[in-house]
Amino acid sequence: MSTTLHAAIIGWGLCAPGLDDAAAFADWLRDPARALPLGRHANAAAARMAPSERRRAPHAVHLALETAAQAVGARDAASIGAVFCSAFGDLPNTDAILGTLAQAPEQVSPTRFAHSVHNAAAGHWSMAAASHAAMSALACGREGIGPALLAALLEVQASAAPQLLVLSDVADAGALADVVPCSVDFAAALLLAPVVDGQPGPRLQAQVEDGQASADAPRDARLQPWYTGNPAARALPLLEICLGAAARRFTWPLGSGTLLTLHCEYRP
Amino acid sequence: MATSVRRSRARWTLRGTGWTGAEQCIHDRQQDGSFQGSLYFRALADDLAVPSTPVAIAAYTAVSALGAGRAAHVAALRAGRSGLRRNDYAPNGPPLPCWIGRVDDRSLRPAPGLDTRLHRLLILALAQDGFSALLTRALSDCGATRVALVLGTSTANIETSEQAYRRLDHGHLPRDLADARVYHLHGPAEWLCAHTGIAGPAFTVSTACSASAKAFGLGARLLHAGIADAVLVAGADSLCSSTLYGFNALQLVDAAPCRPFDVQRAGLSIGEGAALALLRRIADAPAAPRLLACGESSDAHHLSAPHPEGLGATRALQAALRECALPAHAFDYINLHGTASRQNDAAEAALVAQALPGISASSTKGATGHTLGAAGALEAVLTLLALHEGVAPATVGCASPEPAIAAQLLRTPQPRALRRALSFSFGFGGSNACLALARADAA
Repeated sequence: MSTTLHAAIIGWGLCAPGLDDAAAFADWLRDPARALPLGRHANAAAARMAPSERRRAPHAVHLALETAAQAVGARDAASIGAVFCSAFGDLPNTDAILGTLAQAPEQVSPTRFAHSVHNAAAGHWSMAAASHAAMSALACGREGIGPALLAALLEVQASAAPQLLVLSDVADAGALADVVPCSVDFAAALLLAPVVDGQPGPRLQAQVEDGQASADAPRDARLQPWYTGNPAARALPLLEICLGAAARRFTWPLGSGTLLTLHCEYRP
Repeated sequence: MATSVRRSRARWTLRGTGWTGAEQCIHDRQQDGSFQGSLYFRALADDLAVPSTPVAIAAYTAVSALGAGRAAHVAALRAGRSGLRRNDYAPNGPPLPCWIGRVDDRSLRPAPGLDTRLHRLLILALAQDGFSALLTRALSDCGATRVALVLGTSTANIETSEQAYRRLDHGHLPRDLADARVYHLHGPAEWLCAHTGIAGPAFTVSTACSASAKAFGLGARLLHAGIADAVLVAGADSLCSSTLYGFNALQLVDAAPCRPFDVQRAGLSIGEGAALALLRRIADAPAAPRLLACGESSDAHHLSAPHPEGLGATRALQAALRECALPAHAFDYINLHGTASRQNDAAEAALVAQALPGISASSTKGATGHTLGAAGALEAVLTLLALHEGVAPATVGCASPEPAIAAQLLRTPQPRALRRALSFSFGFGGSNACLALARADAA
């Protein structure tokens, strides 16, 4: 049995080193002379957060919330559900907690612990967006974009309502860099919605098939260090299409023997 | 119930277009330009009363402080026994003065491939009640790529990460623990797929203490969409220093065994466990109990405290009732989240008294401890056992119940026939889930 899932992408956002949003990314793409910024994103605005929450929340939460806010834009987010996916979670926070536990376990910070849950960004987003809708937080490994997209597409299908997908990972810290390397901060968000015939804009068509996925790289070869450096940057080829690049077919692994075949195109 | 499902579907398939009501609504709104209006989304969310088909829970089992497998859990539920013990989990320094729900170490065997405490718990669970054999049969009947895995966990293999950080070598991980699956949340799912032969889509849901309840929702959607023909839903969390010291730092750990819904309660007892359920379509397991619904919501209130009036939890309940098109009084038992924290139990007691009056309810965390990411699946298994065995579990540890819920809170096990039950799971981040479960003859 082969099910085809459809969605329109009605909003998108991005936060990456040196590039604060999709418009900045579009400018960068248009200028072949510019080199790719690397490392950490300086200071994600996350302006939707209440100042007290924003102060306590770590950089990983700011990054995810900033891109989520960009994708939702001026729409009312109050009943939009969301799937947040991060391969490695908040690596600097995990490194700090593990370091404290090894040295002086009684000194674990309650704020750090509260933010160590993988759904910290989802929880903060529900507050910032005043949304009581269902929110999930997934971790599906370095190739998590396939399962995360599939989960979000299933929500769109089941609810016939928009669904926010946020992919984010932050640069590694401490000894964790040995095994879960992540060289740059990167977050991307897509607001998916049921397809309406004749509506212009980017569209997805997905199927689950048996087989092994092939590697898909961004069109712009300059993006390769992000693409290989951060699991969330698997979304880059989709963002290129949102910004007008030609249609493409992708295959992303879902498990050891299945893949998500995705056709993405921009309907003028 | 069948009648109401049909009526509701008819309402939502309009004008012979073959569209659902929601699709028609989007089309109409597109025409008049109000597609992105908030009222539209809100109306849509409220009106999406499309009941989804229940799925069968073809096999289920668990390991926890109460023992390994269904028989051990049934015996403990019937006796109203607690599995909590004085904390003897202390890998680094003196043990925190509290009580824990620990799986008997003598029952744990090394896990092939990657030996961690969490994987040992999963192996022990797979070995119970013929679960491994039933999974193998599903893999051969459906094909390995048609079997999916949804694992709910909050801490994954962090117990082993903690070991590694205690013996860092000049800031680097010890060589024997340099396996990436120890350090990222999807590691246990990758290991479990390799161990069982599951080759279909694999997901790790990590929404703190609602994780493995929400895993049932995703599992059902995979079956409904035809993505998989069988789904292994697993919930697993092991004891670790992160959660013991972390909850301690938040002043949420009781020095005594936890006392859910007791007026004197002073926090939780951390537990560990692994629970497994094999979801199938009903035609493939017609005699099996059913997952009728998984209602989900967000509090939008606070990262580590529940909404004081249980607003988010109420929405999860409403979503579950809408999904299965049943009224609250169709359920005759509620397995409460009941962590024994001051705030959770106060909010949950108020919610249950208001929205589910008169229905027998209990928290089983005084028996198992709070198994965090495993709690949703573990309590689903306990609830299924309650339905199957005809025993409503006790709220072990509660001597003087909160007045709001005293009339319906079970303090001793009650043998009686149960047909349908609800199970609540709430997590940090304001993440709520409500499972609706039923015997096959009551679905």
